[in-house]
Amino acid sequence: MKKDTFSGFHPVVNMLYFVFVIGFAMILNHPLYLGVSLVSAVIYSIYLKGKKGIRFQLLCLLPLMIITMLLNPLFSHQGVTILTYFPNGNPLTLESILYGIAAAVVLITIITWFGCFNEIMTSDKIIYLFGRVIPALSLVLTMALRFVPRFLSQIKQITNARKCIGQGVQEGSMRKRIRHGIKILSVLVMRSMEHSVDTADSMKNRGYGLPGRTEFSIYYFDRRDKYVLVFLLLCGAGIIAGLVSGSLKFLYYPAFGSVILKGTQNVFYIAYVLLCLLPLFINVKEDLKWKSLNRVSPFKT
Amino acid sequence: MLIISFFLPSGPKDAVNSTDENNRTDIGSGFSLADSEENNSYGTADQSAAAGSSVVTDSSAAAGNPAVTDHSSSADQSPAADDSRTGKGHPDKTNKGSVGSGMRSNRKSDSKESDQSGKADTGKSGTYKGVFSSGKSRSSKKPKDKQGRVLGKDKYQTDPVPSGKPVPVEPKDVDVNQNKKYTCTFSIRCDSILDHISLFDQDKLSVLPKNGTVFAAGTVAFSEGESVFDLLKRVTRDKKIQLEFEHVPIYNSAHIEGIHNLYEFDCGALSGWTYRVNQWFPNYGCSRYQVKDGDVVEWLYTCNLGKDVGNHYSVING
Repeated sequence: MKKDTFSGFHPVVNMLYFVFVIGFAMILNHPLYLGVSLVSAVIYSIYLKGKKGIRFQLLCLLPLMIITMLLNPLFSHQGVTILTYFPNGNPLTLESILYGIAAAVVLITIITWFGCFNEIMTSDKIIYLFGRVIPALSLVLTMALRFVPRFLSQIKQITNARKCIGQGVQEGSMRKRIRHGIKILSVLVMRSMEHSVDTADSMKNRGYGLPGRTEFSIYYFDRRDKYVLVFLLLCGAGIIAGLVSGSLKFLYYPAFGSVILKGTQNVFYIAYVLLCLLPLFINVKEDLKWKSLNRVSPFKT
Repeated sequence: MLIISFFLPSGPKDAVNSTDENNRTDIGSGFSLADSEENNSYGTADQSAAAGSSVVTDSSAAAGNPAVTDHSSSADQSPAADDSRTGKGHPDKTNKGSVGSGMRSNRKSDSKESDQSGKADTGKSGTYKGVFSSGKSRSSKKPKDKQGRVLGKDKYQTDPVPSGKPVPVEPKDVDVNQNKKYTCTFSIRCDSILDHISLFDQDKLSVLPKNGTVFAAGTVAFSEGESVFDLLKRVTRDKKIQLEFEHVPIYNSAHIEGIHNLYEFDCGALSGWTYRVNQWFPNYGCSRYQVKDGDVVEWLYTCNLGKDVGNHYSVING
């Protein structure tokens, strides 16, 4: 992971940010809001993951988006603008296509945001936030979140080790290959089970979740956290106000509503744009500062 | 057995080609036939064996010998013909079989009178009906009403149609005759929404017609054999009115989900589209109702399972 300044903020700030962006991505359906959320999620994901992020976007999410997009008009025939008719006699409407696109955008936006969430909200942050409130659940959660990447790295290790003794999945007849594959899987399962039992025992021995147990954490809630938190709360409150007042409501059916924002809607929109782009602002600002400091650094000359 | 006679393929064809009175007498004869069959064969008959034999006779007729049934113009003659075909069947069997062929011959003669439909085709569907009727006769004896008609639901969950009303016609049994054009009065209305506007989905106010008329009553041409559903589909397409439907196999009919973007459940949980022909709300799906010349077909939006638009059937039957 690239050095990310936003992840250095207090876990409460990180968590609140993701609660807001993911929650609003689910609730808001105005096309402009969807667009902003999608763009900032994709940029942030690429910023965090680099080349891997781009590959994931193109190979996994783009096809997923296209499939989701195409499915809606096949099953929904609502809408005032009839383009043509399906062979069975139901109409293909412009509104159903647009709604399909919107639903697909929501889906991949949320997946992308969760990808960022995984990068930022490491297990220690989750334990820090929820360890005292819901100890068992947060432990399970961190273990589960850790499970897939651990599995992947271990499978690599075991495969390499088996290859060294001539029992890799590429060697021998079909039957042997299958046998080798099963062996790798069995080792993998055994190892991860043992590991989870170890973890559970270890946490128990340390008195995890017991009353009166103190915890060490490296997190400080300093001034910049305060500013960002206030900013987040203001943006969030503004958007929630917009939602409650109903001015963020957007209709796809029966007729596609007007995309143009009017009056106070612009205020809500600006709040949403700032909210979504917040980590990028922080990171870019920090990067620029780092560069400018380097330029005048006496050590470099 | 009576219910099955609703599905005789020739019945529908008759309904198209003959006048109303003819249609009724045909159905009436169908009833009496079914009735006599029940009196004769039930009670003493080994029912499963009887059922089996009816399949045999039917299929033999379909396979090779449509001419035999063609010659037998009345039900009285057919037992002899069946005896000769099934050979040494026991009396119950032949009796049952005779009814099957009797029904078939009745059908044949009807179709000879009215229509030039293919004989082989009728024979085939006769086989199918034979199998079907055998399945039915295995079940326990159905209760009957005063006119001797069997109470209970047909294959597509339809209760017996009131006397004098057209019976359902399966769409697959109908060939639309494009050359024969008739006219009927057609309209699509949603007045009930205006009376229950507080229940209505406020997001859809933009598509709600202010006078409750989606399609004003007017004369519409249709081809012989078209169902109410075909008519609706064609009219909405011509007039660029949105329509969404779904085929429901258990009712063998289209289910109209929305017309003009006014969908079912848009005006409360009991709302949706219903249809009325000549002031009667048919108790079966619109794909199974064949339009006749001069019919008055109305599509009505109800907010209360039909009660608000005058469907008393739904009131009586819950």
